[in-house]
Amino acid sequence: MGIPDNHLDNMIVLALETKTHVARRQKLTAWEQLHRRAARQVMMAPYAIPPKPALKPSVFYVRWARRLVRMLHIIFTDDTVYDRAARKRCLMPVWGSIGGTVVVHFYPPLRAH
Amino acid sequence: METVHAEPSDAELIKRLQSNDLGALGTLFDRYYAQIYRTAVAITHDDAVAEDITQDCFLRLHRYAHRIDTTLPLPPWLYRVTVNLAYTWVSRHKKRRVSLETVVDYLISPARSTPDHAAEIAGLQQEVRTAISALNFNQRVVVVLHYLNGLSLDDIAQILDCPVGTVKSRLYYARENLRHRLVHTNGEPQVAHGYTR
Repeated sequence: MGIPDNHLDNMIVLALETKTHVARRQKLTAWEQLHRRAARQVMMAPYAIPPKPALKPSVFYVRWARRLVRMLHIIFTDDTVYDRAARKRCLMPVWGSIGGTVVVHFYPPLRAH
Repeated sequence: METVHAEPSDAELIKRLQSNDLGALGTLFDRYYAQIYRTAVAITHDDAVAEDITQDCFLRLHRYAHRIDTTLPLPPWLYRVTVNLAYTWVSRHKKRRVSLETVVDYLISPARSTPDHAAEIAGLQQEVRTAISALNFNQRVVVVLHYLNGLSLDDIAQILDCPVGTVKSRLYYARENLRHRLVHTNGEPQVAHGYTR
Protein backbone atom coordinates (compact mmCIF):
# COMPACT_ATOMS: atom_id res chain seq x y z
CA MET A 1 0.00 0.00 0.00
CA GLY A 2 1.44 3.38 -0.94
CA ILE A 3 0.83 6.94 0.10
CA PRO A 4 -2.39 8.31 -1.41
CA ASP A 5 -1.91 10.97 -4.06
CA ASN A 6 -3.53 13.84 -2.19
CA HIS A 7 -1.51 13.10 0.95
CA LEU A 8 1.70 12.97 -1.01
CA ASP A 9 0.86 16.31 -2.64
CA ASN A 10 0.14 17.88 0.74
CA MET A 11 3.36 16.56 2.19
CA ILE A 12 5.42 17.97 -0.68
CA VAL A 13 3.73 21.37 -0.57
CA LEU A 14 4.08 21.67 3.19
CA ALA A 15 7.70 20.55 3.17
CA LEU A 16 8.63 23.07 0.48
CA GLU A 17 6.57 26.00 1.73
CA THR A 18 7.87 25.96 5.28
CA LYS A 19 11.40 25.43 4.14
CA THR A 20 12.49 29.03 4.04
CA HIS A 21 11.54 32.12 5.88
CA VAL A 22 12.69 35.37 4.33
CA ALA A 23 13.42 37.86 7.08
CA ARG A 24 12.99 41.59 6.41
CA ARG A 25 16.59 42.23 7.45
CA GLN A 26 17.88 39.58 5.05
CA LYS A 27 15.95 41.11 2.18
CA LEU A 28 17.18 44.60 2.99
CA THR A 29 20.80 43.47 3.15
CA ALA A 30 20.38 41.61 -0.14
CA TRP A 31 18.92 44.72 -1.78
CA GLU A 32 21.76 46.95 -0.55
CA GLN A 33 24.29 44.52 -1.96
CA LEU A 34 22.39 44.22 -5.23
CA HIS A 35 22.06 47.98 -5.56
CA ARG A 36 25.82 48.43 -5.13
CA ARG A 37 26.63 45.76 -7.69
CA ALA A 38 24.01 46.95 -10.18
CA ALA A 39 25.30 50.53 -9.96
CA ARG A 40 28.76 49.30 -10.99
CA GLN A 41 27.45 47.04 -13.71
CA VAL A 42 27.34 47.96 -17.38
CA MET A 43 24.02 47.25 -19.06
CA MET A 44 24.05 45.28 -22.27
CA ALA A 45 22.94 47.06 -25.39
CA PRO A 46 19.79 45.84 -27.10
CA TYR A 47 20.14 43.31 -29.87
CA ALA A 48 20.94 45.09 -33.09
CA ILE A 49 18.94 43.36 -35.80
CA PRO A 50 20.38 44.37 -39.16
CA PRO A 51 17.72 45.39 -41.66
CA LYS A 52 17.23 43.02 -44.56
CA PRO A 53 18.87 44.48 -47.66
CA ALA A 54 16.28 45.14 -50.32
CA LEU A 55 16.88 43.37 -53.60
CA LYS A 56 17.47 45.61 -56.55
CA PRO A 57 14.98 44.92 -59.38
CA SER A 58 17.77 44.01 -61.76
CA VAL A 59 19.18 41.41 -59.35
CA PHE A 60 15.69 40.01 -58.86
CA TYR A 61 15.05 39.56 -62.61
CA VAL A 62 18.50 38.14 -63.30
CA ARG A 63 17.99 35.56 -60.58
CA TRP A 64 14.67 34.42 -62.03
CA ALA A 65 16.08 34.37 -65.57
CA ARG A 66 18.89 32.08 -64.44
CA ARG A 67 16.42 29.74 -62.78
CA LEU A 68 14.34 29.59 -65.96
CA VAL A 69 17.36 28.86 -68.14
CA ARG A 70 18.49 26.10 -65.79
CA MET A 71 15.04 24.53 -65.86
CA LEU A 72 14.85 24.62 -69.67
CA HIS A 73 18.32 23.13 -69.86
CA ILE A 74 17.32 20.22 -67.65
CA ILE A 75 14.13 19.58 -69.64
CA PHE A 76 15.47 19.78 -73.19
CA THR A 77 19.19 19.21 -73.26
CA ASP A 78 20.37 17.51 -70.12
CA ASP A 79 20.14 13.73 -70.60
CA THR A 80 22.09 12.61 -67.56
CA VAL A 81 18.88 11.75 -65.77
CA TYR A 82 17.70 9.70 -68.75
CA ASP A 83 21.07 7.96 -69.02
CA ARG A 84 21.15 7.05 -65.39
CA ALA A 85 17.67 5.54 -65.52
CA ALA A 86 18.48 3.65 -68.72
CA ARG A 87 21.65 2.16 -67.25
CA LYS A 88 19.86 0.81 -64.23
CA ARG A 89 16.85 -0.40 -66.14
CA CYS A 90 17.86 -4.05 -65.66
CA LEU A 91 17.65 -3.61 -61.90
CA MET A 92 13.95 -2.83 -62.10
CA PRO A 93 11.93 -6.01 -62.65
CA VAL A 94 8.51 -5.55 -64.17
CA TRP A 95 5.74 -7.81 -62.97
CA GLY A 96 2.98 -8.95 -65.20
CA SER A 97 0.74 -11.94 -65.87
CA ILE A 98 0.37 -13.89 -69.08
CA GLY A 99 -2.50 -16.38 -69.17
CA GLY A 100 -2.88 -16.40 -65.45
CA THR A 101 0.84 -16.95 -64.86
CA VAL A 102 2.90 -14.32 -63.11
CA VAL A 103 5.87 -13.29 -65.21
CA VAL A 104 8.82 -11.13 -64.23
CA HIS A 105 10.67 -9.20 -66.94
CA PHE A 106 14.20 -7.90 -66.69
CA TYR A 107 15.04 -5.39 -69.36
CA PRO A 108 18.59 -5.10 -70.64
CA PRO A 109 20.30 -1.71 -70.58
CA LEU A 110 19.33 0.48 -73.52
CA ARG A 111 22.82 1.64 -74.21
CA ALA A 112 26.14 -0.03 -73.87
CA HIS A 113 28.58 2.02 -71.80
CA MET B 1 -12.12 61.74 -2.97
CA GLU B 2 -9.20 59.35 -2.77
CA THR B 3 -6.87 58.76 -5.65
CA VAL B 4 -5.75 55.19 -6.10
CA HIS B 5 -2.19 54.71 -7.31
CA ALA B 6 -1.99 51.47 -9.21
CA GLU B 7 1.13 49.42 -8.89
CA PRO B 8 3.30 49.74 -11.98
CA SER B 9 3.26 46.65 -14.15
CA ASP B 10 6.35 44.54 -14.73
CA ALA B 11 6.56 45.82 -18.31
CA GLU B 12 6.54 49.44 -17.14
CA LEU B 13 9.21 48.69 -14.58
CA ILE B 14 11.41 46.96 -17.14
CA LYS B 15 11.08 49.94 -19.46
CA ARG B 16 12.17 52.19 -16.61
CA LEU B 17 14.99 49.77 -15.85
CA GLN B 18 16.12 50.03 -19.46
CA SER B 19 16.90 53.67 -18.76
CA ASN B 20 18.99 52.48 -15.79
CA ASP B 21 16.41 53.37 -13.16
CA LEU B 22 17.56 51.36 -10.14
CA GLY B 23 14.36 52.27 -8.32
CA ALA B 24 12.50 50.10 -10.81
CA LEU B 25 14.93 47.28 -10.07
CA GLY B 26 14.17 47.78 -6.38
CA THR B 27 10.45 47.43 -6.98
CA LEU B 28 10.95 44.26 -9.03
CA PHE B 29 13.33 42.95 -6.37
CA ASP B 30 10.74 43.63 -3.70
CA ARG B 31 8.09 41.90 -5.78
CA TYR B 32 9.96 38.73 -6.71
CA TYR B 33 12.80 38.31 -4.20
CA ALA B 34 11.01 35.82 -1.94
CA GLN B 35 9.81 33.63 -4.81
CA ILE B 36 13.20 33.47 -6.46
CA TYR B 37 15.06 32.92 -3.20
CA ARG B 38 12.73 30.11 -2.10
CA THR B 39 13.03 28.46 -5.49
CA ALA B 40 16.81 28.62 -5.35
CA VAL B 41 16.90 27.20 -1.81
CA ALA B 42 14.54 24.39 -2.74
CA ILE B 43 16.75 23.40 -5.66
CA THR B 44 20.22 23.88 -4.15
CA HIS B 45 19.48 23.17 -0.47
CA ASP B 46 21.98 25.83 0.51
CA ASP B 47 20.94 29.21 1.89
CA ALA B 48 24.16 31.01 0.99
CA VAL B 49 24.18 29.66 -2.55
CA ALA B 50 20.50 30.53 -2.96
CA GLU B 51 21.28 34.08 -1.87
CA ASP B 52 24.06 34.30 -4.49
CA ILE B 53 21.80 32.87 -7.18
CA THR B 54 19.05 35.36 -6.33
CA GLN B 55 21.56 38.23 -6.51
CA ASP B 56 22.85 37.00 -9.85
CA CYS B 57 19.32 36.60 -11.17
CA PHE B 58 18.44 40.23 -10.44
CA LEU B 59 21.83 41.43 -11.67
CA ARG B 60 21.06 39.72 -14.98
CA LEU B 61 17.66 41.32 -15.02
CA HIS B 62 19.42 44.68 -14.80
CA ARG B 63 22.16 43.78 -17.24
CA TYR B 64 19.89 42.32 -19.91
CA ALA B 65 16.95 44.68 -19.38
CA HIS B 66 17.17 45.87 -22.98
CA ARG B 67 16.86 42.32 -24.26
CA ILE B 68 13.78 41.33 -22.28
CA ASP B 69 10.56 41.14 -24.23
CA THR B 70 8.16 43.32 -22.28
CA THR B 71 5.16 41.79 -24.01
CA LEU B 72 5.82 38.51 -22.20
CA PRO B 73 5.34 37.94 -18.44
CA LEU B 74 8.47 38.38 -16.35
CA PRO B 75 8.27 35.51 -13.80
CA PRO B 76 9.02 32.73 -16.33
CA TRP B 77 12.15 34.65 -17.38
CA LEU B 78 13.25 34.94 -13.75
CA TYR B 79 12.55 31.27 -13.06
CA ARG B 80 14.46 30.23 -16.14
CA VAL B 81 17.51 32.24 -15.09
CA THR B 82 17.24 30.84 -11.55
CA VAL B 83 17.03 27.26 -12.78
CA ASN B 84 19.98 27.78 -15.13
CA LEU B 85 22.12 29.32 -12.39
CA ALA B 86 21.12 26.55 -9.97
CA TYR B 87 21.93 23.92 -12.59
CA THR B 88 25.38 25.41 -13.07
CA TRP B 89 25.99 25.36 -9.33
CA VAL B 90 24.65 21.83 -8.81
CA SER B 91 26.65 20.40 -11.69
CA ARG B 92 29.84 22.03 -10.38
CA HIS B 93 29.34 20.87 -6.82
CA LYS B 94 27.98 17.41 -7.47
CA LYS B 95 31.26 15.75 -6.61
CA ARG B 96 31.64 17.27 -3.18
CA ARG B 97 28.10 17.30 -1.94
CA VAL B 98 27.75 16.50 1.72
CA SER B 99 25.23 14.01 3.00
CA LEU B 100 21.64 15.00 2.50
CA GLU B 101 20.83 14.83 6.19
CA THR B 102 23.39 17.49 7.07
CA VAL B 103 22.09 19.80 4.39
CA VAL B 104 18.58 19.95 5.75
CA ASP B 105 19.32 21.73 9.00
CA TYR B 106 17.47 24.97 8.49
CA LEU B 107 14.13 23.76 9.57
CA ILE B 108 11.70 26.38 10.72
CA SER B 109 8.78 24.51 12.12
CA PRO B 110 5.42 26.27 12.17
CA ALA B 111 3.61 26.84 15.43
CA ARG B 112 1.45 23.87 16.35
CA SER B 113 -0.84 22.99 19.15
CA THR B 114 1.55 20.77 21.13
CA PRO B 115 5.31 20.39 21.13
CA ASP B 116 4.99 16.68 20.31
CA HIS B 117 2.80 17.36 17.32
CA ALA B 118 5.11 20.11 16.14
CA ALA B 119 8.11 17.82 16.48
CA GLU B 120 6.33 15.06 14.60
CA ILE B 121 5.34 17.38 11.76
CA ALA B 122 8.84 18.83 11.64
CA GLY B 123 10.28 15.34 11.44
CA LEU B 124 8.01 14.42 8.57
CA GLN B 125 8.80 17.65 6.74
CA GLN B 126 12.47 16.88 7.08
CA GLU B 127 11.96 13.40 5.65
CA VAL B 128 10.08 14.82 2.68
CA ARG B 129 12.77 17.44 2.11
CA THR B 130 15.46 14.81 2.30
CA ALA B 131 13.56 12.74 -0.24
CA ILE B 132 13.17 15.77 -2.53
CA SER B 133 16.87 16.58 -2.29
CA ALA B 134 17.66 13.00 -3.32
CA LEU B 135 15.82 13.43 -6.62
CA ASN B 136 17.88 14.13 -9.69
CA PHE B 137 18.16 17.77 -10.80
CA ASN B 138 15.51 17.66 -13.53
CA GLN B 139 12.90 15.99 -11.35
CA ARG B 140 13.68 18.27 -8.41
CA VAL B 141 13.27 21.39 -10.54
CA VAL B 142 9.89 20.25 -11.81
CA VAL B 143 8.73 19.42 -8.28
CA VAL B 144 9.85 22.80 -6.95
CA LEU B 145 8.31 24.81 -9.78
CA HIS B 146 5.05 22.86 -9.59
CA TYR B 147 4.52 22.53 -5.85
CA LEU B 148 6.34 25.56 -4.46
CA ASN B 149 5.65 28.09 -7.19
CA GLY B 150 2.31 26.62 -8.26
CA LEU B 151 3.19 26.72 -11.95
CA SER B 152 1.24 24.73 -14.49
CA LEU B 153 2.89 22.02 -16.56
CA ASP B 154 2.67 24.27 -19.64
CA ASP B 155 4.43 27.10 -17.82
CA ILE B 156 7.15 24.75 -16.60
CA ALA B 157 7.63 23.40 -20.11
CA GLN B 158 8.06 26.97 -21.35
CA ILE B 159 10.54 27.81 -18.60
CA LEU B 160 12.59 24.65 -19.12
CA ASP B 161 12.22 24.84 -22.89
CA CYS B 162 11.07 21.25 -23.23
CA PRO B 163 7.84 19.50 -24.28
CA VAL B 164 4.94 19.28 -21.84
CA GLY B 165 5.15 15.49 -22.08
CA THR B 166 8.67 15.60 -20.69
CA VAL B 167 7.53 17.72 -17.75
CA LYS B 168 4.66 15.31 -17.08
CA SER B 169 7.02 12.37 -17.20
CA ARG B 170 9.52 14.01 -14.85
CA LEU B 171 6.78 14.93 -12.39
CA TYR B 172 5.34 11.42 -12.50
CA TYR B 173 8.68 9.74 -11.81
CA ALA B 174 9.57 12.33 -9.17
CA ARG B 175 6.33 11.58 -7.30
CA GLU B 176 6.87 7.85 -7.61
CA ASN B 177 10.42 8.20 -6.32
CA LEU B 178 9.23 10.32 -3.39
CA ARG B 179 6.44 7.88 -2.59
CA HIS B 180 8.82 4.93 -2.72
CA ARG B 181 11.43 6.64 -0.58
CA LEU B 182 8.96 7.85 2.03
CA VAL B 183 7.28 4.47 2.36
CA HIS B 184 10.63 2.73 2.70
CA THR B 185 11.91 5.27 5.20
CA ASN B 186 8.93 4.87 7.45
CA GLY B 187 8.06 1.28 6.75
CA GLU B 188 4.38 2.06 6.62
CA PRO B 189 2.46 4.84 4.95
CA GLN B 190 0.99 6.09 8.20
CA VAL B 191 3.23 9.15 7.80
CA ALA B 192 0.60 10.49 5.49
CA HIS B 193 -2.36 10.06 7.78
CA GLY B 194 -3.58 13.30 9.25
CA TYR B 195 -0.88 15.16 7.37
CA THR B 196 -3.12 17.60 5.66
CA ARG B 197 -3.11 21.32 5.91
